[in-house]
Amino acid sequence: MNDLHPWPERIADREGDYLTPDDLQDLIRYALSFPERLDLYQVLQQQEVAWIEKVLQQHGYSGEAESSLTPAQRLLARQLAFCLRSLGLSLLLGDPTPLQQWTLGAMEQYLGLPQALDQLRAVVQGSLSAEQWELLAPYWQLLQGVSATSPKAEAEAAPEPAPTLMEMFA
Amino acid sequence: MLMNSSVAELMQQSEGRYLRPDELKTLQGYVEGIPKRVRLYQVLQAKEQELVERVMEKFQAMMPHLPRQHGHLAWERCRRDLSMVWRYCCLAMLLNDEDYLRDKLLYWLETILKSFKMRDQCQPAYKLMLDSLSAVFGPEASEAIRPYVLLAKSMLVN
Repeated sequence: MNDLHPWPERIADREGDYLTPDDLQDLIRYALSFPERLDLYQVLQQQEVAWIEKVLQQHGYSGEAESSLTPAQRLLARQLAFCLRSLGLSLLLGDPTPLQQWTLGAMEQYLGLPQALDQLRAVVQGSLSAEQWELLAPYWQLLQGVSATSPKAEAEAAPEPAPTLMEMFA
Repeated sequence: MLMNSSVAELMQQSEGRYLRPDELKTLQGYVEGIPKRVRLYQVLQAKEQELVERVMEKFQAMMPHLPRQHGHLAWERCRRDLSMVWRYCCLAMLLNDEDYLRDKLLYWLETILKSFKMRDQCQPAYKLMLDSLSAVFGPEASEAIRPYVLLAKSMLVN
């Protein structure tokens, strides 16, 4: 199923004409997969706190009380929750828009978010069945794609700055 | 997923949170209707030619003077416009969304027909289209598309 090809584009491509048989098949497959999507969406909703807590523990959170979170941990928790909710909505709607449009801002709020998302991915994957993960995986790849293209990630991946004149002639 | 304006609005309003149970129910209702609407869409697509031919045959007999007033391409343009309106009606039915039909076609085409003073002359064609639905399609498909053709007729030529 080609969930990641946005529908507004498909409609624009067929302006004034009928949708293609492939598009209609994608639509039916989406509708038939909706019960599984809805189940998984509700799993994300129910497990969000527990999963994020596991990631926070890898960032020094003792897990005693929410009030013991440092400001950085609190910010990380908020950004992870935001990413998870956008991921869930994209999965449910079969549309990449929430992930593509909304999560870029979250990436800019917290420098270490791409690494934390890797940790969250391991936690989530470990909690889901293989079928559920298969359904979610394309969206997770999209999320990681967004984190890889965020301005901060690009800045981190940028080559070493050019040497100063003093360094060049040292 | 092919989103209509209500689902698109739901998406925009839910940034950063999970959907509420009532919102999930609305979405589920829309999605559950998709397979049936796809099936009807395919029926409506398959018989477009038959419908347009039927309408054109009667329309030409009713308005034989049209090419004298609008040139030798009058029938061709009329056929093209009917097909275009029909296809947008079909997509609006698939989306379950009258706003789509209004926003993407009718506001624009209404202006064109008004500016060329074509509304009265085109009126019989849209009436014929409406009257032909039951004869060309089964009751289920004709009832599914009727509200959209009625909307088109009311905005374009009434």
